[in-house]
Amino acid sequence: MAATGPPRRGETDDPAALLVARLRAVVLTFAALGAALAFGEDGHRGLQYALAWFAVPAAVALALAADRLAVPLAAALGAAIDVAVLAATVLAFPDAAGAIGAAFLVPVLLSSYTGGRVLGAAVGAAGIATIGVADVWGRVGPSTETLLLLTIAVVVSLAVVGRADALLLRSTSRAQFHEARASLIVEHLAESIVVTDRNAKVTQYNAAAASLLSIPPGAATCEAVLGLRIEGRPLDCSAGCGLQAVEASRDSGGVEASACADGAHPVPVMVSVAEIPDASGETVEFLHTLRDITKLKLADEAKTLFLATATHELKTPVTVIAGFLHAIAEPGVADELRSTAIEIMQRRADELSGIIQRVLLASQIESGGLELDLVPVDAVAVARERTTALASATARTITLSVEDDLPSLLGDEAALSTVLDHLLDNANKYSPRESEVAVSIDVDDSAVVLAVSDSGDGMTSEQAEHCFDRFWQADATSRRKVGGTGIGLYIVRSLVESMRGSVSVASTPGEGSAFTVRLRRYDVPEPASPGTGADRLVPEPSIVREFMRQIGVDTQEIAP
Amino acid sequence: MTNLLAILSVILGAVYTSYGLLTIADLTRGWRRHGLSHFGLAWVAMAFTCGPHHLEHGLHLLADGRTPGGLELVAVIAGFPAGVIWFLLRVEATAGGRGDRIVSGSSRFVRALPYGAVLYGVAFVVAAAAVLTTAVQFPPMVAANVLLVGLYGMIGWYLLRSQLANHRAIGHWSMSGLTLTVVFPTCALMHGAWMAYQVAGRYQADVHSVVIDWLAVPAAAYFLWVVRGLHAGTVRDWNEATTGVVRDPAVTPSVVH
Repeated sequence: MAATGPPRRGETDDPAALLVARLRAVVLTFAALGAALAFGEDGHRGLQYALAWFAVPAAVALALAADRLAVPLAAALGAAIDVAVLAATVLAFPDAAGAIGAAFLVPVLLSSYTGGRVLGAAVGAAGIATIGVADVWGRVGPSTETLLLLTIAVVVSLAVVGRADALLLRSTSRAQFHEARASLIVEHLAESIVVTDRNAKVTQYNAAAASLLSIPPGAATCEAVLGLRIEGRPLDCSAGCGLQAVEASRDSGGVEASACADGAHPVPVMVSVAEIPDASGETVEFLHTLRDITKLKLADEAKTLFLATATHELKTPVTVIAGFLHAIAEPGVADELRSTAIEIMQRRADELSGIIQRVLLASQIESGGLELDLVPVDAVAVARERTTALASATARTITLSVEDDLPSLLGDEAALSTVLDHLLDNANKYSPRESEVAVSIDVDDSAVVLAVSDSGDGMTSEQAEHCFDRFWQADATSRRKVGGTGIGLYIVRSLVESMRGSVSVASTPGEGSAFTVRLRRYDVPEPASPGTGADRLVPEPSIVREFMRQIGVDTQEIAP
Repeated sequence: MTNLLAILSVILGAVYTSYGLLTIADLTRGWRRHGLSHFGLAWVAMAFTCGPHHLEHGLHLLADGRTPGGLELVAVIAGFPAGVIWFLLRVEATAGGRGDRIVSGSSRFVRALPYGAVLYGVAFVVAAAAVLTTAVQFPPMVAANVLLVGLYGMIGWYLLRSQLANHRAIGHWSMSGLTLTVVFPTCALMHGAWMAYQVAGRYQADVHSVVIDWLAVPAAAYFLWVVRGLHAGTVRDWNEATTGVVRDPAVTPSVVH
């Protein structure tokens, strides 16, 4: 078996001890063989067999020694007991020496295989074969014993070489595997890794670092590759790793910095450093781990903006409600004024409720807690209800164009209503009152297509690209003008995707926008995906692989 | 009894030899893509010694009218269904079918297997001891059978260990794996029966069986060496290569309750 991990009791990694153990085993083996040859000439056949077979446990001990076991007591004692038992048996029945030797080899062979000692098994198998040959040849030739012993000696030598080769191959194979594995892990890490030596020369960086830092060709120094700046000041790495000193002075497990290898485009990063020691424990390299925090910073800014906007949105109706409450609390308020105040407060309370519901829905989406049961939904009925509601609430014209005999879509009725409400609300807010808002429902081979278009302000292509992002609004002016929290279109996209559909926008500044929602038709089955449906990919039938699988050898079965 | 054992032996011989042919076809298909498979070659070597062993023995029984021992007959009868089922499953897989059946949970049939195996083992040892009371001799052929008992027993042990591990991991049994696990111990016991009868002087080795069984020893040793090497990571084989895939809706094993 492979010698892995720290040595256990009775084991050693000391090369000198291993060498002594191996030499001792070799000496024992060949001393036994030599003695057997010497006794053979005097006709002591039983003793000769016993000594010859001493080579077997001695060879097994040799194999144990190759596996880091420095001839422990068990191996030596086991060999001694084996020899004693064998010698006694053979001396008692000298005529059955061959058969006894063969029988003795069975436990040697089994224990050798069970313990992973191929050498012992090889010697055992070869020994039995040799006995067979020697028994036959011994009847016609003069030197059966010599042939037997020489054969065993050759087999032992070959087996030792084979064992050494196997160990070397195994250790090389393991080293190659670990090296390839480590390279693969480093190369596929999402985090950027840059390794520098003590002279601030870059010795290695991974693909993520190359992509994040836009490393110029030929760059080899820490400054040229990383260009780290902390609080605007370049990091001085001339006297060792400058980052290490900064990191040591702070409690947190990283330092916020900006990486600017090309000198023009700083990237905000969270960077940490670790020492890489050599075999003697001396630090020879520094491992820099960088995490791009651009998105985190943007999200942080967006959240701050959202808080300001949402607070403003909430404050306006609350202020109105509070003002009217004070007004009607005064004695002698006319009934007409009281009922007007209540009506306005009611409307403002509905607005408040709507804002809170949007925030709650966005939070639910964010936490992954939104689960929809997809069922057939009549899109026309939903669209008709929502357009009528908005038209009556805003007193503006909304046209609804519908194809005849539209199939149901696969979705959730409440989610579809929310999607249409947000799109219609957007169209209403961002288009002039006298302009038209149009809703159309169409169908293609696989989807029901809903479109909401307006003739309002429209968006630039960059704005259209980001309009489904969280907390996004066209610009500060529109935010002040039309209000809103910037999460409406984010909710639309999330709900549509939860219904396994898609949403897109086409917009021209000054001409208006058209939002298109595609949701699957209920009457068209979903195409099977690999590995889940009946038409999945499966391994080629192979007797060899099937047997390997059944005998516990892992096989890789992946699609090309 | 002679005719029954002869017919079963001839069928098993044809079946095992056919494994070898199917495996050669498999090796030929995969050779260019994955290279040499020691596992496949070793398996072919075993199939081409096990198959001819049974064929030779069946034909000798039919031609010579030799009276076989009961121990051998029982071993062949015990291994026959498993060997044939495994073969049929492989043929099914080669023809594009499932190639396996899932035995869900631990059915009565599976639960009975270990008890049956222990009973059979004990009965075998007792019967073999009774046979050995008649006479004891050690012809050279005994050594080959001793080794084959050990080698096939070890392969059976590896298979049993894998089946138990698979069952712990996935909660059901594979018919393909179970049959394969039954085949090797019964082969070992069949050679054990031969060993007992040879030691007792009842079976005389003929030249065909001597040659075939001595060829079977290195074949089985080679197979065991490959399996050990694959487990230890010293042998590279098709298990490290990625396999091709085909679209086939019929490969999911059906459930056997």
